[in-house]
Amino acid sequence: MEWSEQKIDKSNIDEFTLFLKEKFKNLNESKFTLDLEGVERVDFTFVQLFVALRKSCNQKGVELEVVRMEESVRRYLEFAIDAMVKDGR
Amino acid sequence: MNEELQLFLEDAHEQLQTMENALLSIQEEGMDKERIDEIFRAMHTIKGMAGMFGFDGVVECTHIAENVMESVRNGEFTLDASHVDLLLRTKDHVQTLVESATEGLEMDERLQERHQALMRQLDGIMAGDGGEGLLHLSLRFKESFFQSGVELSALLRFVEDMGEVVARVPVFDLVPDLEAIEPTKCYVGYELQLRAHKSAKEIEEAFSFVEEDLEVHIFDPHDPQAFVRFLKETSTPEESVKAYRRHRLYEEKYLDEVVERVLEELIEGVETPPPPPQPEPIPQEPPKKEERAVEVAPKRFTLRVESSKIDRLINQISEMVIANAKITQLAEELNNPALEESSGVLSSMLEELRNGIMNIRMVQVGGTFNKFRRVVFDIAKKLGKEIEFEIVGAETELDKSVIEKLSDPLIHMLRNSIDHGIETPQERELRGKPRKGRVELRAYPDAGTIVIEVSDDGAGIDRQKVLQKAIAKGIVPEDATLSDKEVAMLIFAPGLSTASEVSDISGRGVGMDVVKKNIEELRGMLSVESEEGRGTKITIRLPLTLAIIDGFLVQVGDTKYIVPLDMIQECLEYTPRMKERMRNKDYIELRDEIIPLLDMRKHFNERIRHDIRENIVVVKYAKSVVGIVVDELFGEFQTVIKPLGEVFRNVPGISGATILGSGEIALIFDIPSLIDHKLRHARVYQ
Repeated sequence: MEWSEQKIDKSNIDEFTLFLKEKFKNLNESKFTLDLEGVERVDFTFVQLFVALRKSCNQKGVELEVVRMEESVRRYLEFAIDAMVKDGR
Repeated sequence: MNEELQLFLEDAHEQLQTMENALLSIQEEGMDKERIDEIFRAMHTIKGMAGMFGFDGVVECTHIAENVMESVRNGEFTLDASHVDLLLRTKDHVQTLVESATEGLEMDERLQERHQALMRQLDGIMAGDGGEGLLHLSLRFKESFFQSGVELSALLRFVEDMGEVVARVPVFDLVPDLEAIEPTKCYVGYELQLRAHKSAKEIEEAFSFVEEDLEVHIFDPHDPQAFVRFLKETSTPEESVKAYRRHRLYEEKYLDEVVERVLEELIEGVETPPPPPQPEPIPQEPPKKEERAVEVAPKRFTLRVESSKIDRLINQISEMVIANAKITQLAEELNNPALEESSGVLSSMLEELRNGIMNIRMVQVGGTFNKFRRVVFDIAKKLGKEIEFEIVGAETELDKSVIEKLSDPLIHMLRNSIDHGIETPQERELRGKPRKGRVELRAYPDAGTIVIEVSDDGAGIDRQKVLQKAIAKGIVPEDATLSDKEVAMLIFAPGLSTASEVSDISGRGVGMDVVKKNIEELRGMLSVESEEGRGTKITIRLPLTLAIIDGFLVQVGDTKYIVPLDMIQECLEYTPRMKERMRNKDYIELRDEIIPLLDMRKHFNERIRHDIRENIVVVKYAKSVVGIVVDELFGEFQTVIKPLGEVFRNVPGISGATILGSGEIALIFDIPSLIDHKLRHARVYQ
């Protein structure tokens, strides 16, 4: 079961949520792999959902692995999720 | 606080007020060379004065501010609203530093942090970053945000257009887990630090297009008050603080302090003042002066009031005390409990009012004493003597009018000490003394009085010389037998001077008798102790105040008298058994101590009443204790001291009079002179 659309944004975030929930419910391993092959564009609804997924994995002691992520998506996630604190403020 | 520090404090306040006025003027009317110069001068002056006292924090802060103003003067940059705001905060900070320093306080941690933050900001201007202040932006996206049509990451990029983002920290604490999340609702927030090149207000306005879907807070993170206000207003304070700690956006101590203040204010229900106006480009509407005044109002300030105004107030209170005494008496006569109660309340309030006003008049003697340093220096220089002058107890308080009248007598005594007492350095060396003579001016409170001592380690009073001179001048008879103390007291006799050479310093013999007269006019007493070759100590004992005292009303024969309450040790009934035990001598034995008695009926030729029980009022002055025999005891009485007329002015044992509620006059016992009389009499009698 893989996500087949090229984008994950507010237009299809409900479906993607259902997709993740289903996948998470049927998880038999100690690792959750999120395959983002083909996903070229995301918006912040995806970021938020990714955070929620990470939370659930932490709660269940499951390792979260993201694979085949496009560079643009990676940069977007980094910008949104990673804290940036410059030295010498 | 000594006089120099007080002067520095007052001068610094004036300079800082000038600075504030100039900054507010720039804020209102734009840059002006004259105003820039005023600010520069204010910082420069305070720096110079603070340097003399070693107040390093003040020097550091004013030095940087001075450099900033120097750069402005040189046209290196122009002041904008954010600079003015920073300089106003600098002014407030310098004021706090000056006040702390003059009170001898070290910078506490909170002040130290504020100091460092301000230094960094001032340095920032000097480093050429245009003085762009660091602002904190707290963004909380509402659940509806995803429906706003605005892409959240685009909004974060938008912030970058307003300045340099130096920190960006996401707040995801409120994002639910996968099971609970509703993906079209927004749960996130961001904390940003921005070195903004726009004002806080401009940034806030820039977010207005999403104001319904976004909660924005913008504040100066180095202003603890603003920080506290933010945490009280934001919907997610805990998450914010967690994020700051997680990513070390602020120092732990600073955060702890801010959080503590938030909790304190929430517990106490204290309202945080409304946010100060944010900096605006100049010219713009300035912050209201009233708001600014409230914000920067100093914690303490001195109000200079003409002393005659306070004197008038004291006179009015004195009249009120007398009027109330009449009401009290009337209430008793009418046997009206309600009126008695009301007059009792009024009495208490008047007493509080009286104490408050009297307290205003109390000033530290150090202010006057310090002026004598220059006097001592000048006299010593003129006479070729070396003097070590020490002031002890400068913090002792005394009624201002007493201090004013004390100044000249003290100067005269110091002159006498240096001129007659202290030997030349050569003489001192020959006598095995240090070259430098020591003169000490000491003040301390003692049993409701203030004691001032002028002492020196000079030659002491030459008993024979003084006595011979007194005899030659006809001041004492040739066959007089005087004790050492009595001889020493002759230096206060009119026309007596033992100085072999008359100088313009002292020695004309017209000074010390005037000194004695002045002290006695202040209801004070003088005593002298001297030891040849070792030095002299003149002691002045003064009442704390001159206007109203707490008295104790008694009756002797047909006359009512007042005994100053602070001199009373105890009152007791003079029983026949006590009289019998002491065989009717003028003594009683009280707890194994023999106390001489002074029967006021005999002393003032009052009618002896046999119908009442006698009482003894035990009074103490200096180290002497005497029992005063009176007829009736009435209790405490607020006593307004009225001067005696010409006829009664020199009656021994009476220092003044007061008016009772009935309109009667009660005379005030002059306890020191009564004790003196009794002890002299007792000595001769023995």
